[in-house]
Amino acid sequence: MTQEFRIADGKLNKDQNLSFSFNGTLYKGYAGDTLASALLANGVKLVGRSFKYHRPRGIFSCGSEEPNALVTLNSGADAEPNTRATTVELYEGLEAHSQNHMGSLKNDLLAVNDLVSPFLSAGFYYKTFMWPAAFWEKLYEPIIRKAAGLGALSGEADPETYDKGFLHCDLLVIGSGSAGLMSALTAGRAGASVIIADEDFLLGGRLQMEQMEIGGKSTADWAEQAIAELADMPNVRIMPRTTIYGSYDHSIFGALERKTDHIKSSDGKPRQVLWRIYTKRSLLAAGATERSIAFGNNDRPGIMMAGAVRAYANRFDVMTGKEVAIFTNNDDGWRTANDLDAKGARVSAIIDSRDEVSMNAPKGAKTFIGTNVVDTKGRHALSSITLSNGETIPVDCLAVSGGWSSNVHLTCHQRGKPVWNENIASFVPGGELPIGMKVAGAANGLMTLSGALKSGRDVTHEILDDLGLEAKKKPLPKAEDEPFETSVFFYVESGKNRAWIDLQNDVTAKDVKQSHLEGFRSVEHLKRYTTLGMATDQGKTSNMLGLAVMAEASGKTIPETGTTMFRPPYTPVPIGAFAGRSRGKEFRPIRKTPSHKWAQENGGVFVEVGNWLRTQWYARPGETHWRESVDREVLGTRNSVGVCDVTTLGKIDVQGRDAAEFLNKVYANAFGKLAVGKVRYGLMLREDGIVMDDGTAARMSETHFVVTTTTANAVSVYRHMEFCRQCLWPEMDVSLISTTEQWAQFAVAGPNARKLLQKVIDKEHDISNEAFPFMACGEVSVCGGVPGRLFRISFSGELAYEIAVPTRYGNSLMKLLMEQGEEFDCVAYGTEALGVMRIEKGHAAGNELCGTTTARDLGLGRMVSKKKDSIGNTLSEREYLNREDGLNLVGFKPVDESRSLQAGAHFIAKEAEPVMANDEGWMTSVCYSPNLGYSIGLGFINEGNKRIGEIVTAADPLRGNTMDVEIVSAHFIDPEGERLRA
Amino acid sequence: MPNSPLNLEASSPLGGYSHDFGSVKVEEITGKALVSIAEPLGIKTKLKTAIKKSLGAEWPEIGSSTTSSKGYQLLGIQSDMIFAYFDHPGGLADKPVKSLLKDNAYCTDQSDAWAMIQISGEGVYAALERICPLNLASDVFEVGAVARTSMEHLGVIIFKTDENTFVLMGATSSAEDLLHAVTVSVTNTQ
Repeated sequence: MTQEFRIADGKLNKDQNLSFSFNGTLYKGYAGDTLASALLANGVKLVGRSFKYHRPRGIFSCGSEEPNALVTLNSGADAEPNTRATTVELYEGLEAHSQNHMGSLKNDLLAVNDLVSPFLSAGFYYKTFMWPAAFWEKLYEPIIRKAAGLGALSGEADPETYDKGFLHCDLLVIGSGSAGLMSALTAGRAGASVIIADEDFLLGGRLQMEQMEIGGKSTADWAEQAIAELADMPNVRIMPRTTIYGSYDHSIFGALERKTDHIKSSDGKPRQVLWRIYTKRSLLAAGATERSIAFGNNDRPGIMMAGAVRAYANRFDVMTGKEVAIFTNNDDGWRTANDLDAKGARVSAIIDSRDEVSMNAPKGAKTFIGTNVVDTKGRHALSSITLSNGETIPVDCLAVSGGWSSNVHLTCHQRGKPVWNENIASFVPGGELPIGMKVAGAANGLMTLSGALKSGRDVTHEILDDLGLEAKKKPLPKAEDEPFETSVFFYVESGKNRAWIDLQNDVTAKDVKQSHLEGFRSVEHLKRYTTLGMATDQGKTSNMLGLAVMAEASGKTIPETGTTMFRPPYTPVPIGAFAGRSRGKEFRPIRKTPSHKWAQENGGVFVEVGNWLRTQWYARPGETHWRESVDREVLGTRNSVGVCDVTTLGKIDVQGRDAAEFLNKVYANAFGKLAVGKVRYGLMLREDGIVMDDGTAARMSETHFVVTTTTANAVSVYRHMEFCRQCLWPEMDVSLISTTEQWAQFAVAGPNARKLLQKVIDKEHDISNEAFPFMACGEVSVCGGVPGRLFRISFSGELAYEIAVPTRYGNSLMKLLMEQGEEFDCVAYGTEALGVMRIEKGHAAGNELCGTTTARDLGLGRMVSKKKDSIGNTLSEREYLNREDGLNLVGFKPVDESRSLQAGAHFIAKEAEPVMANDEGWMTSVCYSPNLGYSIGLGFINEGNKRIGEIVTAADPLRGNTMDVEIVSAHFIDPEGERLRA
Repeated sequence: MPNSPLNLEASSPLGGYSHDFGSVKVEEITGKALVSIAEPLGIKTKLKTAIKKSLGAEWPEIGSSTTSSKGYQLLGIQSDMIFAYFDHPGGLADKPVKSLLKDNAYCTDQSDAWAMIQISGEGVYAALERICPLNLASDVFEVGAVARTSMEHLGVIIFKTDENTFVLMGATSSAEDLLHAVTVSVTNTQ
């Protein structure tokens, strides 16, 4: 197909032909085209269907404000819906599809919605689908969603990748039009570090779209020269295809850079990068957006913004129609007429709503002053317009200009309220701007080229002064002061014809009036009730129209009516870009234990514990169920010896002259008199007397302790201790540092634990029971001098040690222990076996230290020393926490030993009704004990210590596993502790 | 040295990783020690003197480093604690530092707690700006600068050792993820 609307001469480089498809039809365009300009060049006017009524819609604008031309790019997993054709850079092989229609775009079956539009006015679903309530989710909502929607997601994972990044600058210039380029030049020449970003792929903003001059050059040539100068500055970073989408606290901006959207394949590189830009100062030079005028049937394909019509001719060499009319309320509309005429277009008529105009029309164009357009005709594209004087004019393009609104959005992202400027009939930045931000050019209401250049320079001079930088003296290039007189006129009363305000959300002037009649007085309520401005374009071309109609209905002025709040993002940002690399396994980091490699090679099955990957059990060939592996590991350890990687437990080096006293204060039990070479179990309370964590503290020297924490609380305990050190007791001489990662630590447990360790620990170190008894600790060396630490502590209840070596030796030590343990049938055991053995022994762990239990509940009340003060000591004495009928940690076994206990079951008296009023406690931890041959559990129950032997019901109605259980001692194995002292 | 027929093999967190991506080279640093030197309360001047005398370097301000004639680089990471970074073949690295500083400091070996990755080359800034929130511009983060930061949710110490060379130190347990974050950044920006 030929490009019948393409202007032969012009700016676009016609050497580089590009092929693309729209709805399966192949077209041609040129490098530098957008999808919209290429479609228009090929005479494609109908590009989509409207949101609610499925009205035919065409390209309306030439930028990110586009409400109509939303298309789906690509297909399959690569499909990206709701993409604005006006911002899509054309590339070879681009594939686009229209969306939101049933059947073909031209013959959309859902256009029937338009026929029933009287029933679909503002808030119709709030009123209509009230009954029956159950139908909403099952019937009404699915139907509405199907009929009224945008594009559809593919449902497949996005094959593209995304990245994030961080940038820093003295000055961020937002927008690369005349003000932005002038600012960047001024700041760059002064040596400031500058980032200049623009959402367009071609920098220059409106400079690329006008037939004006700066310093004797065309605006486009001047922009090109400025960009070339900036590109040569090492202190300036130019970022085209980058939208500054949000202004956040501390002068930080969010930016989306489209890296590969303009080429067919990303070739493995991130498609988009989401930047966080830290700025010292920012300059908003985002220009202005042209707004429309609402009149009867103003939504037909071919009715466009006048500035866009001019831009398509000037920048893209595209005529948007063969017979063009202009409908304007301001001088700028006339400039479109004159530019089109200069490009050889036929301008049939200029209709100006104002009574007095001093502009000159191009030759041959009829002018209608004080006249409005009241209706249009044309099913799939505009064919004629009807004026308020009754005259009908055949046209295929109507360029509408309701004046220009400053792009104040980013000034409002931190609650800044714009103020009304009557001269340009627009809101402009006002009140408090984001810290460090200034505004220049049209974004600040300066609607002329020379004004924009001057403000870009002058405001940047102020910024440079603030930064302590000296601006280079350079005269401003000479530029025009184009006419910009405008009027406050946005709505033509059009009788029965619908006057469209928000094209993307299908909101009419009648909807706005209706909402006022129904009592919605606040503009924020109007917005939400009618959905005006709530579409993906955020009402960039329509908000002002809505406000004007609202103001008229309420008898107020526009500034009295006020505006809605602009919030980030300025334009839509893909969720994938927000996610960045955080997908799948990269969602969060993984921590591996020192013996991870050995575990992988030996059947280790891993579980995530926080960020750690710990081995749950080691499956051996032939084992078909996890219980087989765990039972084997438990029995192997209890009968001989087992090894477990316990590196994940937190380790904190506590050094200082006051280290012992510090621990005395942090722990509930006493540490002052702990002898060097000894370890003590430690219980840490919160300020409110509830147990925070437990662990051990080993005294390596008079001034040096090694504290261990639970895996889960390693960070929080360290943070707590640092808070104590720095804020509570800064007078104490204590130094803390985490050594969790420095030492690989292994529990070696079982009757043959000592024998195994004696093989690897150097002979110089006597670890006999006499020399190294239960709760001893000390420095050792292994395998001929590798430094190590040995602790005689036991979580399993067996004769046990924990041996630590520098992490670099961890994997090798695990391998060696298993090799040397072969003669004892040594087993490696994972967290499941660890859990079984600690339950068998009655040791509390995370399930019991759950943030609601006290030392007394845990049976450790006597550990809270009253001979000293410590955190939580006082509040642990609260009466309620020490009541006679309080909870006790005890053991449980099923009356029917063939049944399995389940954690989470609640205890009630036998035969009592399973309701909260009868709740007496809960089961915290359960396991199958291979030593006892039945399921066992730990749990809290009122006065449990006095009720040993009592049968109660463990109620578990949700899982249907209610059963009778017997209260027993929590110490199922070796209650006297003989094994661990052996 | 005690005698034993058994032997433990040391393995570095990243297995000695090294890869040249063109404008950027990424490699694991091995053979370096990291020892924390903390100030006992109230004797900072004494400690500074001891460091100057024994290690031959000044106490570094937070965010900067000092270099000694004896091969130590001291990294200023917080107000009352610094890190000594030096060549060390193995074994507990806090012992030699402790023996030099005696009771004037609390020393803890951190060599095995941190994986060390060197990233160097002309493309290093483009790669790091994808993961490092800090401003690494040459006039802001000068050679010798050091900072604690986070990259891809991982705590990292970043140390600029040359104009286009940085050392990244991250937790040993998640060293592979840090390396992955670095290499993805390099690949994405090549």
